[in-house]
Amino acid sequence: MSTKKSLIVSWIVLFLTVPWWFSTVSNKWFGLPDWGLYAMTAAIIYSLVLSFIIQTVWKTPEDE
Amino acid sequence: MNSQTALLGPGGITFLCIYILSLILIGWLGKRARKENSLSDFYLAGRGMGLLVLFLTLYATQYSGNTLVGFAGRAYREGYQALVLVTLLSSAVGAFIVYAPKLYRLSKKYNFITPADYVHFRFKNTRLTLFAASLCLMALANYILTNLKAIGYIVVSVTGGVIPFAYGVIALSFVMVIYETMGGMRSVAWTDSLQGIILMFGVITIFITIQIEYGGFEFIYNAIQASDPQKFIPPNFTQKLSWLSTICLGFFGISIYPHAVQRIYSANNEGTLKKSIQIMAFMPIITTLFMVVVGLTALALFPGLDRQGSEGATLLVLKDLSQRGAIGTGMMVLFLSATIAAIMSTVDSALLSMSSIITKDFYKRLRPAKSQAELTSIGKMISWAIMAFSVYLAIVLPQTIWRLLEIKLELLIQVSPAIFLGLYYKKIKASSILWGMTFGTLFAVGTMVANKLGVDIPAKPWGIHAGVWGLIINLTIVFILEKIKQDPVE
Repeated sequence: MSTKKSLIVSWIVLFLTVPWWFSTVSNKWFGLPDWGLYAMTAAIIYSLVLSFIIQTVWKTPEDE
Repeated sequence: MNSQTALLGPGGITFLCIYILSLILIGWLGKRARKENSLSDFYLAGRGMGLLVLFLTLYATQYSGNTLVGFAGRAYREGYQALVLVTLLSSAVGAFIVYAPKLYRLSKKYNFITPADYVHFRFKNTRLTLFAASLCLMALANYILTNLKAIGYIVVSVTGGVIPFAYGVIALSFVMVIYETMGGMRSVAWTDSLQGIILMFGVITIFITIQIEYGGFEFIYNAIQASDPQKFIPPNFTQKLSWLSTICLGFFGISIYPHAVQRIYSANNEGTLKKSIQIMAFMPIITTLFMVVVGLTALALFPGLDRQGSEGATLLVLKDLSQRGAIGTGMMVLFLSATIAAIMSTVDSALLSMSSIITKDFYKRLRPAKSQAELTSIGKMISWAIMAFSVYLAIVLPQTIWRLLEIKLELLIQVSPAIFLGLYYKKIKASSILWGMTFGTLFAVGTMVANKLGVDIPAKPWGIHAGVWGLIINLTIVFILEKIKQDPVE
């Protein structure tokens, strides 16, 4: 994946960390309201995506 | 936090004093490791930071006392909506990916010391450079002042008022400025490393203890359901916009804090920088998220606190754990050390950054013939002057003015187009960036000041921060001016 595409993917994931889809009073999931679980999971996924992009897209002289 | 009951006994206070004084020893070691008497050596540790030190100094600088005290307080008041704070800090790392690789290579090639060095290199416009440097200075000054005030309150709490607020601020500022002027960035980064380890260890330990003692999320959910079920309602559309706006502040504001940019310049090679930022991507999970859980635990245990009471959420949980026998004095000392460490590591970094901006971006322009050694000496004197003035303001400033000091990211975010667009769009002109920055800043500051002075203007129109509206105006002006000025032949 190119740098440009990776950055766009990371921005989309970042945008999706906002719990846009939830509007009604929630159910409990693993001790959290569903939208809270969504926000927390999305934040963790965003961190993983960032780490993956840094590892695969950022080429340094030391990598070569 | 004016409790007259000391949080620590004589033993704990002695340990804290030894820890704080040991920072001066580390500062002295930093001075001994100096390789040359130059700005690059003093302000960027000779651009030789290895992975461990670079990561720990980035970590300790990015997570201030506000993370340990303020974030838990916010989680207490806002409930699960405070989870936005995790993404706020992650988004800054997301922004590093956009600009750090290019900026690092340029900084190595052209010997940048400050963020404004890049702005001047790219746009060759003195007015724009000085404007960007001034915005950075104002944001840093506010940052230092609010953190100094926090450190004064903590000293009062720790000693039960035996050491008054003013003496606490003066003593800890004195220690910070001593080790900072001894070895510059090297001393600051080494002390940050120690502070970063204490901070990380303190946060992880308190989180694990809470899980074991109370039962984690399940306990929190059941207790909040009984006391404050409103906290389960998902954010409405305006609050969701506010959530997104908060993320924008992190992405465009926190990421370009001058002391963060200077740490990017300080890496010994690009591989080190890459790995440090990669590790930083996970730090919001094990720091911010953990502190949000501490705040939610406080809400579950002690519902009904007012705003001021909620600011002490973390200490309330610690005291409760202590009464239950789950933690001993050692844990309390560890957490208070972590809080003081978090504040000191942020203040010393901001102080060093301010000193470098005044020396390099302002003074050197007036006295271009000064040698590197002379500029370094002047930089140290500037550090002492900044700290003395900041301490004075932290002690005497009236409460009404303190409200204005909350304006930090709203200012800094207006500099981001100069860096982000400057790096990626070769044809973009200085005048467009300068006009955009001017109007964006005027709107953001005008709105914030009016709101804080009691005028009926919201600080977050339609849920979006004034600074983010300012950035939208800033970018719109840049776009329009670039379209107008586009040469049809080109």
